[in-house]
Amino acid sequence: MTTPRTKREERLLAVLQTEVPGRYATQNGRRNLVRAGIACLALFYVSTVVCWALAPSDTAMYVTLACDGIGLVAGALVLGQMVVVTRGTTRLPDHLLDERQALEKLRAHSTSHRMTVMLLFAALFGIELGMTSDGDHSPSAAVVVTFVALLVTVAALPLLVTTWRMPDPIPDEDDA
Amino acid sequence: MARPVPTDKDKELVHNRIAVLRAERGVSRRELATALGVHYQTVGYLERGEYSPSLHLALQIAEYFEVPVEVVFSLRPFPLIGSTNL
Repeated sequence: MTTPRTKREERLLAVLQTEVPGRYATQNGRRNLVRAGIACLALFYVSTVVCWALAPSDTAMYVTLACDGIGLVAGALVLGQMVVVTRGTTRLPDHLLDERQALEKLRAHSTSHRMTVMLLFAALFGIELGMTSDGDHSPSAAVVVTFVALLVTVAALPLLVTTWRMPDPIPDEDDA
Repeated sequence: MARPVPTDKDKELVHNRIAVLRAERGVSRRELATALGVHYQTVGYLERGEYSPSLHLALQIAEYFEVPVEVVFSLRPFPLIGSTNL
């Protein structure tokens, strides 16, 4: 079950065995973290909308670089916190998870899958709207930025779902 | 007299005595988790009734405490200590 096979996995497990930071020990704290993650993802969609509306132009380029850059840096920090809070449930390989974590990972991926299907329909609708509002105008930059936004969302969804659903952790001191 | 049939509400609920047995034997949550090969939080969630174990894990827990599985797990709440309704 939770047997590390390499030194790297051993170190990773040691980090994830530590206690969850106090501010994320409550449901409200964890859900605020998820909201922060969604805000980071929203930045990618802001740049997508700007690209569809203004690309090719300098404004579209600067807005995209700024939004995606901030989204990437802030998102990495927020998602990193989520990995610690969820103790790597969605990121660790299966052989490092126990049955509860494996089940939670499966549930998170199943929920994320349903959300991804909805997201794809929303993206199709948005792209159709972007293309028909200005003839057949579909800048290649906008297509790439849309793809990046979708990719980042799909990658982050299981972690967001797990963090949102997670029950309050059990304090270590209980054993004292 | 026949005992009441569990309702839909507690259909999924499995009551357990892990915390009592652990305290009785002086076993820490981490020690039990290591012996079972699970995360110590999983033991905590089991004790709080927020997670129901697989049959394999339930049998492992019973084996660890050297008691029959029905001593540790039950579909009905365990009687409280001092309760006359045993």
